[in-house]
Amino acid sequence: MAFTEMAYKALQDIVGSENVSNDPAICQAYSRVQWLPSGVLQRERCGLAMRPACVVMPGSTQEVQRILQVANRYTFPFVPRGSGFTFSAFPTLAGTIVIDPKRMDRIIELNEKDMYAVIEPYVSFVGLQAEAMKCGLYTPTPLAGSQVSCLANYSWHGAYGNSWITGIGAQNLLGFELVLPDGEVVRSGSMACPGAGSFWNDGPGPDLRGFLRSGMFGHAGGMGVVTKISCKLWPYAGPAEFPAEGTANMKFSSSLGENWKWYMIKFPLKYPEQEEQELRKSAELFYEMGRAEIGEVATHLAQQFLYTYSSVTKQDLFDNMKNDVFPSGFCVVALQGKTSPDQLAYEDRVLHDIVKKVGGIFVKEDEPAYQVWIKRAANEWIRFGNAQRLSRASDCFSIGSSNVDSIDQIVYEILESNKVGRDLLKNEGLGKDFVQPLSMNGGWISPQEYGYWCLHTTDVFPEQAVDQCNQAIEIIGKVTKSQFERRSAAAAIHMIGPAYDLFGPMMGDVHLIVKGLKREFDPGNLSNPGYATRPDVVTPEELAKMMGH
Amino acid sequence: MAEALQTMQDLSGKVAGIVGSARVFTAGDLLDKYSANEGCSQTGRPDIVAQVSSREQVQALVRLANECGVPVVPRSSVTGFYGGSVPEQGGIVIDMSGMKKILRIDPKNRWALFEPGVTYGELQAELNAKGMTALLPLAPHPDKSVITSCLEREPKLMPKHHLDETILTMELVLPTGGFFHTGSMAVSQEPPEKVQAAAHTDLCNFMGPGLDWFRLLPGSLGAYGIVTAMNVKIAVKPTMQKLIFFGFKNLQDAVEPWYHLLHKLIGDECLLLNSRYLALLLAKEPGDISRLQAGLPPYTIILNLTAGEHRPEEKMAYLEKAVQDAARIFQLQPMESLPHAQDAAAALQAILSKPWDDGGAYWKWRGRGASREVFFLTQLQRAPEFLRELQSAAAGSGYPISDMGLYLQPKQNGRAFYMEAGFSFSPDDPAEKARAEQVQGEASRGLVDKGAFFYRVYGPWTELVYGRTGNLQKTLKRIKHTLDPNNILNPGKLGF
Ligand SMILES: Cc1cc2nc3c(=O)[nH]c(=O)nc-3n(C[C@H](O)[C@H](O)[C@H](O)COP(=O)(O)OP(=O)(O)OC[C@H]3O[C@@H](n4cnc5c(N)ncnc54)[C@H](O)[C@@H]3O)c2cc1C
Repeated sequence: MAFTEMAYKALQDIVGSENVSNDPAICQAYSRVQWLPSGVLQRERCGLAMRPACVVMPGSTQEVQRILQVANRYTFPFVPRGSGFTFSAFPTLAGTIVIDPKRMDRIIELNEKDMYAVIEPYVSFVGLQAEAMKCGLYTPTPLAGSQVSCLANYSWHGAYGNSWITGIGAQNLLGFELVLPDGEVVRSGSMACPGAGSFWNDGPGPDLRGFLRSGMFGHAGGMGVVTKISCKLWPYAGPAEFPAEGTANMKFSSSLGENWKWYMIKFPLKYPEQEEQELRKSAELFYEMGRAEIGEVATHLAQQFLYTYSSVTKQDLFDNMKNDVFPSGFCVVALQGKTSPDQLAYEDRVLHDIVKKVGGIFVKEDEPAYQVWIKRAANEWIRFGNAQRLSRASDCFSIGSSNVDSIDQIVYEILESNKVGRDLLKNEGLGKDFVQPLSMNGGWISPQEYGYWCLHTTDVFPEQAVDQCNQAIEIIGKVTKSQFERRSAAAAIHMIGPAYDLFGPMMGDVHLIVKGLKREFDPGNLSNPGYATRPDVVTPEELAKMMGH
Repeated sequence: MAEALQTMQDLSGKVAGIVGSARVFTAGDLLDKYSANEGCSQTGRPDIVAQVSSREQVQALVRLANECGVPVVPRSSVTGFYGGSVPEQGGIVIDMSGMKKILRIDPKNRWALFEPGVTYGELQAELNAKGMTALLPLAPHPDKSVITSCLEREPKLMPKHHLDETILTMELVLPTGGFFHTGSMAVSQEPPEKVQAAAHTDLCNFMGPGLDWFRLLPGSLGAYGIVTAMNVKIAVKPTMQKLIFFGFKNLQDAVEPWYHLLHKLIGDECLLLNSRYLALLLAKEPGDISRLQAGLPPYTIILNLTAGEHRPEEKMAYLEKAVQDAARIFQLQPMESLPHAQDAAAALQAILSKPWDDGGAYWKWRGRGASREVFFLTQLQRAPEFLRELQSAAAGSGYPISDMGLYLQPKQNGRAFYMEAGFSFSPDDPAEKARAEQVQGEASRGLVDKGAFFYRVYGPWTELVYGRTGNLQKTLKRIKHTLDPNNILNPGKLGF
């Protein structure tokens, strides 16, 4: 069966006719992710059929539950969505409905003492951040930008650059309420126990977050709809109201007060010729900081990140590149005085010791790099994430490679995968029209939890055009292939959607386990088919290409 | 059942074929040991105990169990506490306490990889020699397996957020008998200690693949998989430390200052004990316990200030100043020793850095020989309310309140608190035992009613807790059914 008029009427009955729409103009807006051109990957085959059959806006868990019950009765697929910033929030099959949570936007609880919040799906990071800061608390922010849904991000992914102590989405999610694909509601953590509150994550018994999330990516809406989460908040010693000066694009926040101190650190090495040494030195810095347990932010920003994230217009971006404002990647560190000013002063001294030991140099305040990054972008990162700017260079961007493992392995993977990319450019001309030289070198090193582990991405900047985006996908495929050949830890993080079938046999047949769970909980494969595993979302040829063959 | 099981002899013969006949037990006193745990009354006799020495043996036994449809109960600690490894439906106990290899220590990435039989004492000795330390629970039993402790989610003394979840990667034997590697260990199918040589990984990514096993396995009491190796976070050993005590007459009085200390990130190990538990830990002789207890503050916060390799004096100076500031705000008197226990700081520093190795009885049993415990998680602001509930359950059962131990352990800088009450009794006196068990039962029911969060679910709590959690237990069962279609691994433990 598919989506029918009767099904539509049933949905109207549940949410009220004003909260469901099959207007083609409205549905079209839910049919493609903004940063990919039409015609890339599955869009090529589905065309206009990618437009959802309708968009429905539930206002409560009970309404979500009833929507899923209707979906099961008439067997049509549904896609849960946050703000719709990523590709997996869009239909992969004709006749799919999109569940838009705009009406579920409450911060239900903000607990200052026990440092957590309980939120609904449409609460954005920036909304939560503003409220949390008033209580001396804050959250890390995804580079995707703080306009995205905090709940969607914590449930499915979550990678941040200001998470040196907080960890990523996986660490920040506490309890949750999930409507399973068949419409049953399950709660996890203390939320599951009447009267226990929402403060804690694991139990009773096994921690169900282990079922909701699965590696760097969760089931991406493939295991029902999360309707509520509790999440961590972190001690924050900055001002209760985020300070900003200026207007529109020229709105900057130059200081978070006396309890925050930013540093930019470089190494006296030639870029890109000595990039390897520069990355290894950065790793040394982070290992030392981790052993000393100092700092609030510690990350290595690739040259490409520095340019894109700090630019306020396209012209600004290219001017900065022309003026060589960021001649290489830089390490960016922040200290926060949470205990006392003496603690901040102590950490400042230790940081100076460590930087000296590893041969680094503090960028001076009057250097252009400091002026552009620290004065204009760094604080905004705490609030905004600012990833929209990532597409500044070309109105598009693509991951070149990513990995999660030790800091050392991250450096190894950045070097190796960039080498693959450069060889493809040289030998096959792949990426020759991308914005260069931003797409050839560099890597974002984001160590987590005082350096116990680390993640990275490298990025490339194709124009928002089909042939260039397809080249980007080809590059990812070849990089992935090399990761498997080299047996890089990176191979373990690619498990999402069709990749399960490709890589599962190499990893203890995990695809069979995930398919078994999907069959158990969603026998009709209605919850965001394609995620977790549905091999026919892309053709075998596309898959082969994605794998670099 | 694929191949109908003929006789016990058949099965034990097959088990002997895997582990060697000297390592198989089917009768006698030894089986009694595996039929009960120290901290609960639950009993359940295995049919066979197999003492394994390798991962391959574990796998072969799970495969055999699947062929024969026989339950398997994994066990790693010599001494069990709450019945997790007591069989519910007979079958084979796989005793892994003999798998004692510490496979690798990586001081740079701060982890250690080891087998299930490794105890805290064994691990700590190796780590200390390398300037590192294990992340310890409060004076664990000397027999306690580190892997079991992590899987049972025993609270750690260190309340730092990044040291709350310590499991990195694991090798599992899945319920259907396949080896499975989690996190970045998954990129190679070589045995765990060989993965780094075979692949480019430092075993630091704990997430995935497919599920977040590092979260699903803990708390499952062996129902979802058997861990044959695990690497966990370790920490750098401090170069300087100083213990500070704050005494309180009432638990309520500790609430605000403790939140303050934790939110300001002052110090490392941090816990609160009542005079009973503190006396059990500190008394030199069991005969000293009562005298010591009478002299101690009713409730004591113990805070360890530590410094590492960089400018340790300067760090200690800012921490001590922060303690003084907190003391001024809350009008407290920080102490460097305790009344009637002048050497408490040095003694506790030693106690907090290793398992209980007194040679005599385990500290919780020192008072009267045995104990029953109730433990759960709470927000600190609710702890006084739950303490009242514990006290009223004790009073209602005629249990002397002065014999009740109390331990509060912050997690993640105070986001949650582990709260434990211990009711000691003489195991030789059936009336005392019955009374302790009555308090345990009454208190548990009252606490659950009031919203205490029983995050670790054992024995009698299974129904009490899961009965109120809607579809949670059903969901756990559906996951179990997918992973363990023959219901081989520790059946009954999660209530199914
Ligand atoms: C330029 C750019 C940069 C990015 N950088 C980052 C980054 O640094 N860090 C990061 O973490 N991500 C990043 N992303 C990926 C992604 O955009 C984010 O993860 C973001 O949080 C998605 O939030 P959203 O509200 O837009 O969710 P959506 O895109 O709407 O949804 C994300 C996924 O979650 C599912 N989902 C949404 N809501 C629910 C629900 N209630 N229940 C169950 N499933 C649900 C959806 O089906 C979808 O599969 C980036 C993306 C872009 C385009």
